[in-house]
Amino acid sequence: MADSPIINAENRRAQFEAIALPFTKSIYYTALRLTHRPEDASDLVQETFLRAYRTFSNFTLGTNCKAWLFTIMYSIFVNKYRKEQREPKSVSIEELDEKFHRSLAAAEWDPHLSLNPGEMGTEVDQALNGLPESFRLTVLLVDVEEMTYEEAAAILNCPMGTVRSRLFRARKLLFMELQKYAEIKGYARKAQI
Amino acid sequence: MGIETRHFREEIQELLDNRLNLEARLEVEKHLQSCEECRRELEALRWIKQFSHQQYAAEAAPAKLEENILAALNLEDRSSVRRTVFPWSWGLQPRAILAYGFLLCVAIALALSYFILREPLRKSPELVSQPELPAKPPELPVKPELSSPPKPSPQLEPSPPRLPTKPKLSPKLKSAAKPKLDAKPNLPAKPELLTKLELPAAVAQDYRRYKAGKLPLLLQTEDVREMEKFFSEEGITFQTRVFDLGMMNYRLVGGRVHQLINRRSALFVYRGEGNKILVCQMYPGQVTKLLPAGVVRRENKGIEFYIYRINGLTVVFWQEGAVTCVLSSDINPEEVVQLAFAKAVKI
Repeated sequence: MADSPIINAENRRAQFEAIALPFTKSIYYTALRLTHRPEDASDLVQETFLRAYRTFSNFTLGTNCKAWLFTIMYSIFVNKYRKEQREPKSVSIEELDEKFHRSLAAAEWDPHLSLNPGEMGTEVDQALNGLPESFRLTVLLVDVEEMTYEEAAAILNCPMGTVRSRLFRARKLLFMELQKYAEIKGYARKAQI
Repeated sequence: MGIETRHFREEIQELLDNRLNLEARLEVEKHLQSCEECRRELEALRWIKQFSHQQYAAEAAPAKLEENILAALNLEDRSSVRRTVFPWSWGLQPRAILAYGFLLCVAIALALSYFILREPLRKSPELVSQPELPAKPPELPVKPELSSPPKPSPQLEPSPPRLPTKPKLSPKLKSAAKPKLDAKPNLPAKPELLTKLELPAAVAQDYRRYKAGKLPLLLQTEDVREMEKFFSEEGITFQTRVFDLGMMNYRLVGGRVHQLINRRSALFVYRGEGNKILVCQMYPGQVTKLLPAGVVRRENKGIEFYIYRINGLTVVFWQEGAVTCVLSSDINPEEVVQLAFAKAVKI
């Protein structure tokens, strides 16, 4: 493995722009899913990049810049923007699993359903927003941003097993929510739950 | 069937996220061939994963956002230059800063000349002619097995250069300004100082030696318990904790009782796909007492991790009770860190 180039004062700005700025879009959209307000999301992103720039000398070139930016963004969000944290409903895994399987068995659901973005309408955003924040962010990091469980765990500052469990629950909850919209839109027969 | 579905519930998600090792994957796939319910669950989860990816993927960010970020960075650049040049400026006008700066310099010069002229009269001649401590500790002989040929000091990634925030005094002026500094004559460096400077580099060297086939493993095994038993039988006095990294697609290949500079360590090695190698060592001692400064520190699950980059290698230290653990590899640095995060336990 070649040596990582070193960040120095002279090309710090150029390196930061080249390495960090390409992730603006990803950071913004996740910020938006967390804050629900475009103005707050823009402020949060700006603050994230500013803090990242100030501490850029701590960043090791060649490591995962996207995960580093997400860690900063989430930390600022938790400390400054989060108004209240809605705790996930305490539904047991068994109960959730049972509901999920009933939903799966009863629904006329097509796994090859076309997946054009926006096809099912903007209501699907509500399905994601309906998830508890920790579940929502885990889905965004792993399924949307394609991060590993380990990276997501580092960003959320939780054990990897927690990421696995949140993902497990979140995907099933999301599936059941989306089933409702699929039924409304006629993609699936009404489930007899 | 219901029991079987519950049995493979978690594995189905692991399969979906490509986190199963080959053996487990084959087992789940075999089960899926005969269990429609599990197959349907996998399809549903795969669908929801793909749906989330497409539906919630980032679209274009607001046009002005990047512009605003760049403007904020420009402001930061200007203010940091000002902070660096005039760290005590507190928003004062440049002229006032220069005037205050000039006055401060005069005051410092007066104070220093006062001490320089006054000290020789007050001190005994021996103390005044006290030789200065060498800037670098003298090299100590190191055991042949551990010593490396004379080489430059560990090439840790240096911190970015920082502009001085206050005027630096020459060593001579410093000693004059602080007459009560410890006046021990030309002491030899403590052995620990040398160890301290070389520890991460020694770990990195062990990794390279193993990779080059120069560090044989005394026991070759994939069984973590057998490895731990071996260390115990070979006289490792602390409890070793050989990790099972199967979930991360790394398998144990074996280990040896090793000598890491002047301490016995339990060294064990993992291999992953694409011939990735991880070398882990554990030895008794406090991590904070032994490591040189200039390290990148990260915290996870309440545990401090000390990360070094040495010539393309990543070396991560952390503490588990009375034992220091260190993981080294030349794979993606963040992967090494995340593996350490995943396996470290707070004791």
